[in-house]
Amino acid sequence: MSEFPEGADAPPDITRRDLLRLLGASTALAGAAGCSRGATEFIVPYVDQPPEVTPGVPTLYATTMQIGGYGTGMVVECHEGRPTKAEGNPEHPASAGALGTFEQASILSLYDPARARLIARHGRPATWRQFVRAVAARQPKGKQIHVVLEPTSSPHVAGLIERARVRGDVVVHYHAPLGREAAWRGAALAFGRVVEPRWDFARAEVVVSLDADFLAAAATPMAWARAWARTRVLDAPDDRIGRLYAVEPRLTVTGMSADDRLAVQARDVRAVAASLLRELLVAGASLPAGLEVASGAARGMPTTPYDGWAKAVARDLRARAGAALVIAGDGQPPAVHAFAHAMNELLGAVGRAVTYGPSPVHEAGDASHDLAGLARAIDAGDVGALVVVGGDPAYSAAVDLDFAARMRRVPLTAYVGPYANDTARIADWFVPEAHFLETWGDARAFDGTPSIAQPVIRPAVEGYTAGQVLAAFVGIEDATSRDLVRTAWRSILSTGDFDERWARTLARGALEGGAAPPVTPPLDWDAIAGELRAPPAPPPTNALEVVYFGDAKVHDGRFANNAWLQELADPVTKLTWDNAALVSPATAARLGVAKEDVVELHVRGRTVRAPVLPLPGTADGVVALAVGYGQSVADMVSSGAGADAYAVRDSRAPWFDDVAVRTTPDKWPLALTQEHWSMEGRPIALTRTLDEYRSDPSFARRLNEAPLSLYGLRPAGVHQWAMTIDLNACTGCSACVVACMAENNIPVVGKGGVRLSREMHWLRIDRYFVEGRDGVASAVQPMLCQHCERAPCEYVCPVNATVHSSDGLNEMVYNRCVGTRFCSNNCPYKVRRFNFFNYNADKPDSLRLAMNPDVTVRARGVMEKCTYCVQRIRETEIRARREERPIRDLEIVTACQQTCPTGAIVFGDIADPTTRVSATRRNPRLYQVLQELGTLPRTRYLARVTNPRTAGRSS
Amino acid sequence: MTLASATGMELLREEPTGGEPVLLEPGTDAEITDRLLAPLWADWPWFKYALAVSGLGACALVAALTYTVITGIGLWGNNIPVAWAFGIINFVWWIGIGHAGTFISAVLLLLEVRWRTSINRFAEGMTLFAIVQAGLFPIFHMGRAWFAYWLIPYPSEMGLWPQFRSSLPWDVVAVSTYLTVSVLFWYTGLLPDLAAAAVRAPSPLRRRLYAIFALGWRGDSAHWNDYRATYLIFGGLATPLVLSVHTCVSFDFAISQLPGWHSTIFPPYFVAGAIYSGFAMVITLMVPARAVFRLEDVITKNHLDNIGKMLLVTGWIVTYSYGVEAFMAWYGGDRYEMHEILQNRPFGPYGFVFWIVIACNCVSVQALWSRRLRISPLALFAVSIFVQIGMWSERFMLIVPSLHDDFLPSSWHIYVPSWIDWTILGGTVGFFTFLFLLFLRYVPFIPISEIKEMRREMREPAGRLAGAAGGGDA
Repeated sequence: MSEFPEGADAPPDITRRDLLRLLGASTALAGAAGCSRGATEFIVPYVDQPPEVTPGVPTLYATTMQIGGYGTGMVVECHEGRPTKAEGNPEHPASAGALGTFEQASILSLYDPARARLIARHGRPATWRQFVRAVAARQPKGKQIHVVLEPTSSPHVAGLIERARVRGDVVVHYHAPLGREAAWRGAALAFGRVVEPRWDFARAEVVVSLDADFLAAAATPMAWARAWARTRVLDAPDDRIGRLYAVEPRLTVTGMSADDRLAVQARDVRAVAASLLRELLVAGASLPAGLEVASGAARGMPTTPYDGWAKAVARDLRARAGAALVIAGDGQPPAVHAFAHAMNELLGAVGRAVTYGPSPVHEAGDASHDLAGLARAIDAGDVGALVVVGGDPAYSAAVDLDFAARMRRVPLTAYVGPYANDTARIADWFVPEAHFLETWGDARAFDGTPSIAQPVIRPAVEGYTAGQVLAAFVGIEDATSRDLVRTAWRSILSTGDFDERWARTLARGALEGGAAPPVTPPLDWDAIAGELRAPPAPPPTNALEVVYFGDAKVHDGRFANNAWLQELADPVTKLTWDNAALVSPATAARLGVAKEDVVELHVRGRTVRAPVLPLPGTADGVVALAVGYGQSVADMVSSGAGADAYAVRDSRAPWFDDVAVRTTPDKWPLALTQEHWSMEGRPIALTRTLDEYRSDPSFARRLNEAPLSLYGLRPAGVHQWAMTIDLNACTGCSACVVACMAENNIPVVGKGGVRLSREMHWLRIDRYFVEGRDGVASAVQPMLCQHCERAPCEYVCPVNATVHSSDGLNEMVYNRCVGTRFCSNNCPYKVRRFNFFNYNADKPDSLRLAMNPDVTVRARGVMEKCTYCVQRIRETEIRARREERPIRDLEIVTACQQTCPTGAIVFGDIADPTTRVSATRRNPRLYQVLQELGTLPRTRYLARVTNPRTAGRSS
Repeated sequence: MTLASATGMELLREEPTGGEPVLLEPGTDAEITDRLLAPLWADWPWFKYALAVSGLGACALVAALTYTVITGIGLWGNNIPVAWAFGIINFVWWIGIGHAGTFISAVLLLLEVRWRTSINRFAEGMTLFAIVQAGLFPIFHMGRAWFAYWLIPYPSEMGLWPQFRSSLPWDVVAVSTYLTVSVLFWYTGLLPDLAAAAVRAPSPLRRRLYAIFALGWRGDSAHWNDYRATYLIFGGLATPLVLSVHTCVSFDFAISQLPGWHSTIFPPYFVAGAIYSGFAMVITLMVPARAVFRLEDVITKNHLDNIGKMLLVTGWIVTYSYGVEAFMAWYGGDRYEMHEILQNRPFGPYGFVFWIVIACNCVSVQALWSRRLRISPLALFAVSIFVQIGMWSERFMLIVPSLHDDFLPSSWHIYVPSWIDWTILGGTVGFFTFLFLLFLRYVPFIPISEIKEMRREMREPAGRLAGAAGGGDA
């Protein structure tokens, strides 16, 4: 099999050198035509203006993004046909109006200049028809076409898969490196069938998370975080708030938000879960009938080191029975999921905090979600053609499957994907995959609600979808994606006028009332008893354990070439442009390694080299390594980033495994946006326990007093804009950071730039560690321009380039800025960002399309910072004035606020006492960061109040 | 005033200082003029090499600054939080060095301290060239240097004015005023000597050139009258500038609210530090020049002794200021201030800079308590080098550690200068040396007329009233 020469699919009139230069420039993404200094460019108006387009007025389209088979609805803002910003769709059950980092950043991937452009066979251009014929030609020889898809919930793809199954000559497999097989098998174990829990965190006063990062992990609904945040609302000291326990091997966003956190090795989570289940089974006063076997099995369990913890937590859970919930994470074995289901049954959560429904993912729990079957078929010589659609199994499949070698043995291979990656280089045929924003599609949300994905831009490349590929193999050769989707939806929208319902669903973004009805499967207690009797995990030893997890930025590697995500600071580690072997400081000391030391991880005879990053909160004995890095694709922004965890990840232990760590003398520079982890005892991100808060309710308020002053305070405007950030709700998930980058045309500076502390993020999430009662506790705090009423930056600017507006904004006049940087020096919050280079120059044209035309593109040498999304404020003001009405509360939404899954950010007018932001200003938890400086920030915070076990017992 | 005479050589002593004579000068006025103009006509075999080396440094400076303007400030090591670093350190250092010239010329003139006479031209030249170096930085450290003129208050078509609450427009005013007054003061003092050179130059071309620059000086009594009045007026104008310029510069820090910058002690502390480093630079330049041009009779041990004492005094003011800063941080009780001054400066990642500052500025200068070392050119030269390193390091200590860890620990970040930063620093030293060498080569760098005037005054106290005698025979 020949491999693709790199760059072979580039347009022919660009030399390789030019191409490299262009691609290299995508490390410093984003730029806008016409705004760079000195350039002469021409704008051409529409000759025939499309009726729906008014130049300058964005159009909004509802569409759906799918990761791992779970759909999230979004509304895409398009300017003159260019999608520039994704927002959550309030009508979609998974989004609930919010979006995560991946959905926010998906816009940039659409414009990625590194995307494949041409259908090619062995590197030479070919056509779609030639491709289909070549694959079909393999069918008559008595062999099958095997297709590897990503897990999908798409109704039209599911229909085509069924059609292929009927025909019998096309075999479908699924591959997702971060798949949910363990959860499905756990459900099958507990209920005898695959169901998925739909958690309602708003109804759970106590939540125990068994290694489940439900607040931020990819494909988890934003709705969960939003519901959880409702249990954190604390207006008066006597209000009740929820409690979150997290048991996890590495610190996650959920763990950072937990009131009580237990760091254990991943293999010990099962023991913790079993111990907790035993406590609920054994100590329960009256158990329903039929539980004797399980109860007996529980009594026979050996003791574990976690029994004390489990006893106390079980007491807490029982005290809130009916409003208590136990959840298990995808990285835990089926037994842990089964235990969680059993505990929810015992706690009476079923029907309240959790309901069950069928998995939206097609054939969830089926053996086809494992590539082992494909490997056997290849070995048996049954595979005539192998077509991989999406993903990159040659890179990400379990290493013991040796997918790349097996793929080379197949007579004809094809890859339909976005990039010339490992799989593409092996495949004979390479077909560009359409980005979801430029084609038709559909998906189901976690609760089964179907929604349509519609194209929001004319495709830049000739890309194809999984549906089109499958359709071609089942005889529908030249179907458009729209036809395929509409055909499938005729059965979904079977009642009423199809076109009218189609249009309504398309506009709304999700089928109204489309959720699959919940089911209440009976729990198989005998199976639970069997698992309880099964030999427990070996007791903790000194053995090290490697934990694999989906990265917060590149997920399973699919976003590796997305510079917004690469430069986003990991919510927990604050690392950019790399992954790292995360170890606890104690384990680092035991191993004799320090930050940036390169270690070799030996797993089952294979080795990967990775830089060490000691991280408080990691369980001792754990080496946590995110997957998705270390890709060998040339000419991408991700080149050389990180260590490839897939190189050692074995199908027998896909989530955690024994590991031997060998030190090396080498160094691997890491780029962190935050180097110092301690608050130094300063009152910055205030945290108190509920008991402390109740005994001293004004602890925060004392940091909210205006210092004495001889000067008048308020500017004279009618509106006075202000923001309040509730640290009780903020999880640190960082979706707001990406939203800010997309909205405000924030450039990317690359790993070198971040290492020099020149990242341009207007909004950052500060993450601190403090010594907690049980080890290390963390605190997060979104930090952005505080819009101080007495701004230290303003009076030091020699040219009046930063001034105060009458409505209370601290404004930055880019045109006037000469770049003395005095303002940054005098900013106590260090939220100002300086254009050290001309980051926006020399961008590939495609990336310029992602720019928001409402926001000025900043030139070299000027300072910039958060504007409170002033473009949105002014736009709303103008609209309200034209409609001769006042601006409504919450009519102006900043980009960070709009995407925040937990609704932690409130923006509005504090001159009007009836607004929501004014209500937050009366909260006793309100305080100013660095209040003693007298800056009178407009951005204020509500202190975090945690609810650990010993606190608030009476609540 | 005492008049001493020993073995055919006149020893002029200045009463209050006693000790060493302030002038050892035989011969007539004409002989003195010839003697002091002689270096101008002599051949300096080393000159072209020295000029080439320093010229290379100047070229490197131009190249580095050009590269910066074309590419961006990102070539420097600056970051956020450390938005100011070498650029401002170098600015403060050079402008500080520039202070000694005016102090010697103007303040000591008004105080009628006679030993200033032999070295004032020298010190003024040094001042000018130091201001030239310093003046580069406020312009080139800007992100958009081509708009530097926006800091000047001028009636723009947009009706925009600078922000007068900021210290930076005042810096522009202070530095440009200082440069203007220093140039005029220096040039006024130079006129009689340029006329003398025009008369005595060996070639017609040189005579013509010096005559042009002498602006028609004929040495008549009306000239001398105007000259004296003008010189005193400039002296009077320049004297407050000694205090105001570095006070303005100190406001660049003091008006901020950054721990380590936000301090009322800064103006006097900065002025003392400026004079300290300026005197050190005078010594650094004077000691080699005195040896090369055999000026031991004009720049006597009396001068070394006096400058040494000045160094000691200003060194102690600086040391005292360090102490007060630390005390006030503790006494004020502000946690950020205490962290910065008591913890981060001495023991933080830049702690080594703090200890360099202490060793150079506070410890090394104590050697000058010894009179033997004060009048030893070598010891004095060594101390002056230490003081200059120390004063540069002091500005680093004030600027970088204060910025790199301020209020929110989340934004703390280390600063490392880039090779461009070092090139620019080295380049200014080269450019300064380059200008100073040209000055030595083509300008009478010892004020001849004033030497003669001083000699007469010291011989006949009433001569001061006669005034005009000084350059009469030039």
